Amino acid sequence: MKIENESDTLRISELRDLDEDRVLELSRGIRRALRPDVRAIELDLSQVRSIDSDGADMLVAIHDGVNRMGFMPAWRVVNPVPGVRQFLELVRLHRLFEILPARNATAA
Amino acid sequence: MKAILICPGYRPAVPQLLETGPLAAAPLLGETLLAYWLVHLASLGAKEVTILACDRPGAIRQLAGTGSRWGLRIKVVGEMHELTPAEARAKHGGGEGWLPAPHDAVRADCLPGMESHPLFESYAAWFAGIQAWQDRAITPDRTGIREISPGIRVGWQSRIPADAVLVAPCWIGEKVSLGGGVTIGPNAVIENRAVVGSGAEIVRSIVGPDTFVGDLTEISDSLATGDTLVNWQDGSSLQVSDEFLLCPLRRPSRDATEWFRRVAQALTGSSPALLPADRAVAPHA
Repeated sequence: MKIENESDTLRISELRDLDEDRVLELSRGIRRALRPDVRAIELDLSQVRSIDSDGADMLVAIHDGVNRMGFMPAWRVVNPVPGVRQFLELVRLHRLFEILPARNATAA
Repeated sequence: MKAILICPGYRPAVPQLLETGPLAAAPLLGETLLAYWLVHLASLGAKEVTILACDRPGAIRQLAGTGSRWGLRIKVVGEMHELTPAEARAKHGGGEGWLPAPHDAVRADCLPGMESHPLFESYAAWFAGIQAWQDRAITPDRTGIREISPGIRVGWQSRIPADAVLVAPCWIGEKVSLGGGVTIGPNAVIENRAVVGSGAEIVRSIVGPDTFVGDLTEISDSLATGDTLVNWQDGSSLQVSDEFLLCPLRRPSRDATEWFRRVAQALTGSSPALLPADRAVAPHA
């Protein structure tokens, strides 16, 4: 997992699973990397092959955790595989996370 | 008058439609493609119909029965591959008393009279074909479906709560149960016996028969059947593992007759038969 600050965006990439351990690690990593000027958090899910309700629950937990810290960034999910995108839409997480087909689409 | 009806075999663009049965038996606004064609042929004056089926003829035989429902005498013939109308005429035609061409031998890969909407070229074509058919789906032999307001059709014994939002055009089949606060439509079809949980939203989508859609879910631009969700725009599919989100309400039973037929063919070496019939006729797939 890689977390990097680029301008006002916190990018998280090389995520492979959304299991409990990974999400705890991700949560801590985001907390460490968050700066006051961060306006958006971008999760690159291109390497996550599948997701279920537990994974979706963890995404919501991360989202809520960051918001509780007083940050209200825009959340984006970048380049999810079709099945992951479909699942996020099924559980309406596309209302919480803007879904972008590819990372460079953020520039558009 | 006599006619030949050719059931479509394997179509590589729509593999999910083949999962539960042959394409001619795929659920379509509470009926099947086969039934709509038989109604049509009967309305043209046909009395005897030979159905040619290369994919799971046992299922077609079970669906068509004797044909008495349509006032027809029906014979289902299993074929090793899908014949063209010309091949079907040459093999099964001959003699007097046929419907005039082209109705004497028709291939059921579109709905009757909708040749401009081939159904199996893509999931998008299937979706578009069904949407276009909504106005014509209430054939003379059907009862129980009523149009409760323009473009909104509801089947008998369906439960629709007072706070459901139904947006035309939409089709709600028979014995469907909708939860409170659901939004159905526009361009939505809920097939027979489906259950849609409270607060769910179904837009530009088809929910298959005997399918449960969980509370607060959103299904858009998709075909949801059992636990499978297919995006009809890009063809991507997802098998949902959480039953509270999407699941079948009835497990499809295996067609024992069909299984024995394939085993018998394998033992006699008459075909590459232990593969599903659709694969057997399309070795490139």
